[in-house]
Formats: sequence, C-alpha cells, structure tokens
Amino acid sequence: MPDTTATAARTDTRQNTGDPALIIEGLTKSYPARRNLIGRVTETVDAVRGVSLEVRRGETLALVGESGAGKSTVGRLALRLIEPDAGTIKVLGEDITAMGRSDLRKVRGRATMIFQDPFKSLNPRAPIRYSIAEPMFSQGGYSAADRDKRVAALLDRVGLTAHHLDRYPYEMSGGQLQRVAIARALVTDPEIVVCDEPVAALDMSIRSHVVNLLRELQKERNLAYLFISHDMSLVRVIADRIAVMKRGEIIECNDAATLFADPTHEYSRTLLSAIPAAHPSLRTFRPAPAGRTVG
Amino acid sequence: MTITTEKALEQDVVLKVDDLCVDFKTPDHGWTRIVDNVAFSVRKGETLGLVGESGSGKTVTSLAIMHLLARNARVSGSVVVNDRDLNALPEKQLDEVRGSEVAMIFQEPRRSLNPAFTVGDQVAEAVRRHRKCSRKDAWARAVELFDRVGIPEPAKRAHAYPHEFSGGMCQRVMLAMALSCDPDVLIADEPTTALDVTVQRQVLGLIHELQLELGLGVLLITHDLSVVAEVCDRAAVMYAGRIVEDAPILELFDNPGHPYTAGLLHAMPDPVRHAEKMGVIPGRVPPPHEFVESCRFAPRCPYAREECTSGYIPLSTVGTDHLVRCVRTDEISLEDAFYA
Repeated sequence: MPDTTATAARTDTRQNTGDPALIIEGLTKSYPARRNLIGRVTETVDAVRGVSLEVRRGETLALVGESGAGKSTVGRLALRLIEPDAGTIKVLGEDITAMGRSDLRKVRGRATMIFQDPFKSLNPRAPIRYSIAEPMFSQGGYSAADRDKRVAALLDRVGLTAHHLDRYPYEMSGGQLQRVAIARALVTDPEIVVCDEPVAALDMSIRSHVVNLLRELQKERNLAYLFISHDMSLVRVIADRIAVMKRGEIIECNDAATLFADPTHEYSRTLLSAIPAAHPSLRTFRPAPAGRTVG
Repeated sequence: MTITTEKALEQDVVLKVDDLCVDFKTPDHGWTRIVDNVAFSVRKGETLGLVGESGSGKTVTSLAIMHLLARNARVSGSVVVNDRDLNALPEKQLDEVRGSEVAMIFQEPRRSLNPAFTVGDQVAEAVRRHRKCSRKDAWARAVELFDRVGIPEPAKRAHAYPHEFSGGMCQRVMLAMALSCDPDVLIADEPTTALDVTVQRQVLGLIHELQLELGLGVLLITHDLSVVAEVCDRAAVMYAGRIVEDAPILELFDNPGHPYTAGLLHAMPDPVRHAEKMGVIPGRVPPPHEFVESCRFAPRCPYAREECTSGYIPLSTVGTDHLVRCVRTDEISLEDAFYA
C-alpha cells in the first residue's frame, strides 16, 4: 500500500508529551426506548456501551461507523454536553466526570466542538462578530480590546475578511459559515476539538478547503482532534488513528495505515470494502469499462 | 463511423435531451436562466452520470426532464424518450410516459414515500395507475417487485409503513415503485447520498443488476465522483448551469479536458497526493443571476486568460466521443494546478 509510509511519517513527527488530551473509559449511555402506562421506562436502548478511547495531544483520532453507531453520542459525552450513565472522562489530565458547572465551563474553553451543520450550530440572530466572540464572554477574563483583537486575528486566519463581521448566518455560504464555526471553536485557544462531521454538509470543492484549514490549524496549534466521520476515504487521508464503532461499541482501534492495510475485525473489512472506488479501473461489482466503441 | 453504425447507435438511444433550457422567475432578478442548453443522451443499458456541485443545475435538469418543475419555471428544448418529445406532449399523455417509460427515484427515499400508507399500498397504487388490473393483482405485483429488489419476506413486509423501514429499505421500495411499469429510463437523483456506505453499495449494486436484466438506461445524478467511478459508463460534468465536459468514464478520469473536472478529481481524498494537503478549487459557484455568457469557471480557474472571458465558448470535440467546453483545453496540462 503506497499510503502506509505517508501516514506513518506523519505520526512519527508528532511529539506526544504530557497527558493525553482526552481519555474516556467505560463510557455508557442508554436512552429510554419504551415506557409503560404510568410513564415508567420498561425498555432502554444502549447508544454507547463501555466505550474507552484515548486522544493524544496533537493527533487526529477518527471515530468512524455507520449512522446510528453512536459516534456523535461519544463526541457529545466526551465534553459532557450530555451526561454519561457510567464511565469516566478525563480532559487534559482533569477528571470531568463529576465536575461542577463552573469548573466544567472552564474546561470547555480548552476543549471545544465543531458541529456538522453550521446553519444549525450558529445563532441565526447574532452577527458573525458575536458568534465568534461568544465563548470568550462565557469564559470571562478577556478585555474588550483583547476580544476584538482575537476575533480579527482568527477571522483572518480562517480566510474571512473584516466585512464578514457584521453579517448574519443567512447571508453566508455553508463553507464560510463552517470557517466561522472553526474560528469560534478556536477563539479560547483549546487543545482538543471534537469535530462532529465538520465537512459532511459541504460541497466537494469547498470540503477540501475546510479540511486543509483544519489540518493547518492542527499543526500550528498542536491541536488534538476527535474527528467523527462516516467518510472513510477522507478519514484515510487525515487520521493518525482510527476507531471503528458499531452498535455503540468500539470494535477496533488502530493506526490509520494499519487499519486500512490489515483490518482485523470482520465489520471493519466490510466497511472498508464498501468505500467506492477512486478510479473507474478500480471498480468492483461492475466490470471495468472499456469505453464506448464507436464505429 | 459508417452511416449504418451511426443509425444502429441512434436506435439504442432511450433518452435524448437537446438544448434544454430552464428559466426561473425570481423576485429579485426577474427571469434567470438556471439550466443553459444542456444536451446529452442515454442509451439502452447505459449509465450516464450527471455530476456537479449544488447550484450547478443537475437536479433542475432532472426535474425538467420529468416536467416536475413548479409554475415559475419555463422550460424549452426537447426531451425525447423513445422517439416522443415530452416537451411537446399534452399533460395527459405525459402522465402515461412518466412512470411507464421514464421513472425517477430521489435522494431521501423516506421523504418520497407517504408515511400514512403501507409500502405495499403505495407500490400497488403505482401499478394500478398505469395498468388496468384488480387490486389483488396489483398487490401481487407489488410483492413480486419487493422480492425482486431484495426486500426479505416481501409478502409480510409489504404491510409495513415507511417508518418501519431503514433508509436503504425505503430506497428499495422506491426502486420497486419505479420499476413497477417496466420503464426504459430510470432517473436517479442522488439515490445513495443519504445512505451509509455499506447500504450505498447494496443499492448501487441493485440498480446495476436491474439494469443488466431489464436493459434500463440510467441517468445518475450525483455530486460524488467516486460513485461515478463505480457505476457509470460515461459522465457529463455540469458547472453553473452548463455541461462543461462529457466523456466516457475512463477518459474523464484519466484525461480530463476541463479545468473544473480536473479540480474535482484533485479534490477527491487521496492518501498519497493528499498526505499533507488536499487539492482545492479556489472561490465558489456563482449564483444564477451572476451567470455570464463567457466561461463561468474562469474566475476560479488557474488557467484563465483573456480569451476565456471574451465570449461564448461552445462544447468542442477532443479525441473520440469526448466533449469539452474550454478554449485552452489543448494547450494546458491539468496536473497540479489545484495545490495552491
């Protein structure tokens, strides 16, 4: 496999110093599936079952799987946007599993999130200027001048200009808005970002811009990404390690190169073999084309 | 090419679209042309991919073919199915053609189904719409179709409602409905975009199987070049309402003639080339009221010169059966322009 060396080289150049950015252990979350007449839960469905994983500083751990596998639930649990039923979560060395609200708020400045659809994740009634600055208000400790400076610097870094500041989300394209969401996620200098399908809603020609931007920012700031995606061909390009989820459990976690070259679990193999070909000569269930012969 | 083979090929054409233009009346900009002189043909047993980003007009093209656009749209040009021009047919005859000669499936199968009726009812309704038969026979035909599209326990599952089915299963129901009257052409608008990869593979495989069996001509509309690579015989690339390239599939991937096609190919994730950085196309698709007469890709094109913006550029033939709308296609190599 030609890609093996490329991915391996990338992993080697990272220094993994200090505590891992995120450690979760035995995380479980179930939801009520059925209630009886008086509203008591008679049946539950396990969205996440005993998931453990570790994201090292500066690396991209991709969480892949089909819809309903529990990827997004894990992402949300990792920042306690929803509460786990069991298990522990450590963010940047701190156990946040039982942390109080005000402490948790501080952690959320250093561990942030980017969502799939920026039209839904940004406040439609707030100008871009406010959306980017908002995390600094909730974190506190930034002067007005400081806030303006940081917003301006990040806006420029994600490839937008000052005249975007007073616009509202409906005035901007999906790609531009996802840049805003990235700026917002980075404005408090986090060390880990949970990216929940950050490019799935974008057009192809826009998608690679945003992927490049995320990768550049990772390098500049030594960011750790928990990158949730269903797109195996994208994950193959950007992930250092990959965890495969199925029905609420992680069934396999390995270096990206190793996983692609030699998946051990049957389901991983199925998932990999379902990736559509990148070139018509590699197509599988249809015979490769000979071209239409004319005359 | 001799005249006889040309004729033979002509006879195989099941869908021929020519000079298709669609204008929409918009409150801000008056009549705006969304689809501009689109032309292509689909042969018996062939899959043509219509590729483009959102805003390129690919879905509007498919809806125009089926006459499914709202009243604020004006359609001109010709859409010929089995020697009949749909654009010249009265609404009543159109109803006979739609479904029985051309069928269509959509991106979100569950949204295309009526949540209040069982899937069996809905397919049986489609059967009775086009054929005189009893309810019982129509139901039997529906169950037979469910079996054909790989729904397990078809007789039992026909009594299920759409919400009891997964996305992949709903798309199978849509396919059963589309096939209920033995169409010659199937238009599939992003049929697998909302589905998981493993399910996508099953659905694409099923479409292919049915195509082999029934000799369907398929127009597959998609934004995903890897889906095109997987199933299409040829592909037409649309940009800003125009077809910019039309070529047999291998030719398109190996020897793209239009910078936009090359840009899309470079933006497909590739573990070797993109170890550090993915290929990008700068800029964005223009909104329809900003469509110009000359090359619409020029503002984003790394190869653009003065001649690109000076006037209309027609589709020209390069090589065998390969059309490109670019004045510079012969002089440029499209190797690594998109790694800024």
